[in-house]
Amino acid sequence: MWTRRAFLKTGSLALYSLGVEPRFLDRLALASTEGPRPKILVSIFLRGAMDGLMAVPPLGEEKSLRRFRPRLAMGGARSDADRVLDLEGQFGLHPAFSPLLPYWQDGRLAIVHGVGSPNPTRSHFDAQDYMETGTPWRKGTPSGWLNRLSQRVSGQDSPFAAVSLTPELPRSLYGEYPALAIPDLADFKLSRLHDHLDRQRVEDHLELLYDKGAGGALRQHGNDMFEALRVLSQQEFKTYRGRRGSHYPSSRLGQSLMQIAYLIRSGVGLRVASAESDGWDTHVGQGKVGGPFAVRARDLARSIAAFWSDIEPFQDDVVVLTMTEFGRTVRENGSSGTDHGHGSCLFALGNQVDGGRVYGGLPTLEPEALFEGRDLPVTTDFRAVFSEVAGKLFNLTDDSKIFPGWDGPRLPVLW
Amino acid sequence: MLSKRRHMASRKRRTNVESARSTPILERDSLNVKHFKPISALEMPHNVLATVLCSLLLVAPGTRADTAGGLEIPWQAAGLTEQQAAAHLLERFAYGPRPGEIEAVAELGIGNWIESQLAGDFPGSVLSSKLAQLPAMSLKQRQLVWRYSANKGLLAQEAIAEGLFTLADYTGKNGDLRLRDALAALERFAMDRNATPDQKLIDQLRAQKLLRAVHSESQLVEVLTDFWFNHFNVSATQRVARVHMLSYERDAIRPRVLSTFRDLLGATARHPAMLLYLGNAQSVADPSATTTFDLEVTELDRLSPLDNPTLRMRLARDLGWYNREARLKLGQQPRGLNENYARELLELHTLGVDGGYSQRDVIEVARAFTGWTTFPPGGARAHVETTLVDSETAIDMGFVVEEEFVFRADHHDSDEKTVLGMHLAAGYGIEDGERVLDLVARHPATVRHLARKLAIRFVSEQPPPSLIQRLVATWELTDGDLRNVVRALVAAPEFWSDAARRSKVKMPFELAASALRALDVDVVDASATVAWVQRMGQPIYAFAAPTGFPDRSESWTHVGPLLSRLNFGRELARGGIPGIRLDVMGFLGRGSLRSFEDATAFYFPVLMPGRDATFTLSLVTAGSEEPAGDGESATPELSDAELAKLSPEQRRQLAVAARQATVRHAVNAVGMLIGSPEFQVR
Repeated sequence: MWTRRAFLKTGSLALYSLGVEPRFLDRLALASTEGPRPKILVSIFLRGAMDGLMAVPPLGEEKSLRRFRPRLAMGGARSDADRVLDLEGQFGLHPAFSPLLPYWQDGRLAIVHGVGSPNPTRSHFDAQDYMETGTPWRKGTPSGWLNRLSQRVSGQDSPFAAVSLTPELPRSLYGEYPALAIPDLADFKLSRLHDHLDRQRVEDHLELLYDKGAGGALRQHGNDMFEALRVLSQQEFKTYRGRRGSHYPSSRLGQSLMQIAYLIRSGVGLRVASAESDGWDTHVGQGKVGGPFAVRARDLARSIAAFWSDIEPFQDDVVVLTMTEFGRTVRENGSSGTDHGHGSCLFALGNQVDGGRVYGGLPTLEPEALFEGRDLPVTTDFRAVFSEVAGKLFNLTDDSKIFPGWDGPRLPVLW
Repeated sequence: MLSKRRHMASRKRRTNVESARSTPILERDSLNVKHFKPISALEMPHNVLATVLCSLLLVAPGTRADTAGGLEIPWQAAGLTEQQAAAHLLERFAYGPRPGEIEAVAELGIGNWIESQLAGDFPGSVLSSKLAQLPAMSLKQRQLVWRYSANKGLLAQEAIAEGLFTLADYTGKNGDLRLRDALAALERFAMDRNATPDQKLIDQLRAQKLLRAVHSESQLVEVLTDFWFNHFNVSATQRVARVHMLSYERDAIRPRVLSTFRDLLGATARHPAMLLYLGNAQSVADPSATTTFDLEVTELDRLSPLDNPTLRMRLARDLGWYNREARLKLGQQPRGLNENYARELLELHTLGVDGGYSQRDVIEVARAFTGWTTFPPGGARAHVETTLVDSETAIDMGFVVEEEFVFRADHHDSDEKTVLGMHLAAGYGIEDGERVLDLVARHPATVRHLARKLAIRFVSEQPPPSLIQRLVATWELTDGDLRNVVRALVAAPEFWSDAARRSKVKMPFELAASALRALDVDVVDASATVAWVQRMGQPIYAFAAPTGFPDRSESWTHVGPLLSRLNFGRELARGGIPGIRLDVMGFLGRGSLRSFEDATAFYFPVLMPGRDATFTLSLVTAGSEEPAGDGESATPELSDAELAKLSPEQRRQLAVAARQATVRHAVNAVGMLIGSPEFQVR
């Protein structure tokens, strides 16, 4: 394993001796000499709106479920066909999530049911926007909640403090804090020039130009960039597939989490990481044990499980939080799918999570108990969970700094 | 009898609409708004126009024109050479100079260049032939909606409903063969309906922006279109807005960037792209409010109690109002007031965040804009269209249809309102929104907000108060005439100051466009470059927030995007960007380059004419103190005597080697210069 110390010796210290200002790894090394290890939040956005009712179905409501969704309802924990996993209580878990079950059993995975936005919009864009800005009634909030969080929990000490494994910055990371959006860290390299012979020379020239010929932010960003290039050109990163025993799916989410794990293990100052999973908008042929929903769910569970075993030495420092813009209709539609609804559920994983429990809750599945007669109602504002996770993890007290206009109580899902 | 009354009602309505649009300030305004000077809007522009004409006539060609619109342009006072001034001008009011353009502008004169750009009549045949290759560009707004509304999921649902294939076929449950047939059937279905995914429209929208930036002669209009689109931002991340975005820029914004601010504001307010993006299309009067439609019905009840029930029934049936389910299907769930447009209108488009409005004002403005919407998507559209378009009844009832804009009288809250202290009497329809626009377009806070924003974009990110004052004065004097605002910017000493020049980091699109212009490329296909612009951190037409891209230098050079800038330069230089034709060697003619340093010195003024190369070149030379080594000495210098001793074959080999080395140095230098800090700023 390549270590920071080794890098300091071979990389930036050598430059330091040439009179170059301390760069981000030195700044990090200086900053990390005191205090406990920094905490890390990994956020996974499930785009398209996950069907919370299929993910975590209430047990003992099989009758209503079969009435509302004859082609989608699955058997309860005690039935034979289409068996859902038993969460020992009122709820079951879709079998595709089985890789997560051990974490539930040893109490580090929590579920919040009936979570969502107070804004009843059923537009993906609006709902994602509201959730990612953290302001469910305001479009114009210029920054996202993860950016505001990054701003508060990390100085400008590392270009890898806030990272999104996406081609574009997600709305949650819009803002003044310099977050890095990159679909694949392996792309973080200088492309080849005309001739290999000249490559190093031209790069040296550029580095010199940024260091001596630029000012202000341009200079700092330039210096950090060249240092980050050296970090990610390590042979070890190029061949990184996760530590022994962690089997990442080859999906985008799996690869994203693998790279996040690499950053965590490298100690380059990651605080807030963001990854995404697409395809939850299951209008058509949602499926049961198999089908589009199960494919997504299995990918999510396997990716998280691989990630969690990969970061084994760092598990005390990390919380993984999933989120989705809204839930889906309780009733199935004419094409064996579900349409845009309201409340859904989310997962929180971490040693600091008070898990093995389902927080929040669902009403009985009767039309009059449903939101607008059709959807799971939102019984927990997403901000109650996000502010708890961010607040407890990073020791923040003023939630309104991250969620302007929010003064509701946190939902205590963390120790 | 009835029809006569209906005509009277219709006349009343029409008159109101016309007066709201043609006279910017209604009589009522000046009575209610005390802090406004009534502006003699009709006189001012004439005076200004006259001044402009005079200045154009008086300045003979050949003399150095230092004025625009009668204002002196103080570049000389700032101690600049004509070349430096032209370079700065073209970096701010164009997407950078093309080869030879600085000399041309210097010859023409700064003021004349600005005036010719303001007059803006360029034939531009290269550009038009390129734009003609984008089929969407020539389609009317309505045709665009029909052509590009295809959403695969929705289409599949419709095809299944029409029995073309079954759901099981489509999801592959019946085997691969049936799935393949279903997909083929879906393709035909889409073609029959002439449906193309809306992404294709966004691709063309992006392509035309790059084509225009690189090849258009109307550079000022392009730069201003970019500024105002970003000011009134809408985003392709909002799916329902996508199909309207090309028309939004082409029909609402570009034709008005040299008009008045009120005109531009009004066009954005009515455009479906904005109405859908900020949700005003779904904003409906509170159930307790009296709608304009209710009012008209009551009036008819009074005039003709007998006929009215029939009429009401018919309209209700035609529009499907009685049936909530039908409305849900129309995608127009009556959820009541949606405040988003109202808030962003005040906070972003006009007054600014500190513009002195309250949450109460936001709600009142939202009420004024209830009913401002567009046609519903899909099959429901035809239904609403037949009911509303060219329908006397609908006009009588206060409905307005204008292109894709629809004012729904049945959604408009016609009760009285108070906006920023201005009273809006009960009983009106579309006029409420127009009066709000009149009010906020001329509000002093709006003028300050816009003056500051323009100053930040075109002059400096720390705009001196003196500059803001100058812009505010011009704006107020000419009632938001955007031509005069441009003149005021160029005539400001602050614009030419040392503090302003090279103070802004180019946004990624500006970086790409300026590199392509400087290298005189031919853009055959824009898509790869557009993808690079996104990689550099600027997904054009897809910035999700209504704030638009931040106009703040330091937000554009974060580590990841900065690396992409360097890579863009390298790819461009080595000819690695598909669709871009360039000839780096063309600048050299038959000349040769002996070293990387030589090449850097040669290409610096190509890429950055009018800039001082000394510092960059000194660093490059300083960085090359070590012996050149390896590939560098491949072309030894030979004296004439030595050359003469060589055989023809030896000479040929030498020449080939020299040429190869020249190409290598040229590519390396151009790649590095585009990625250099000096090229990032303007």
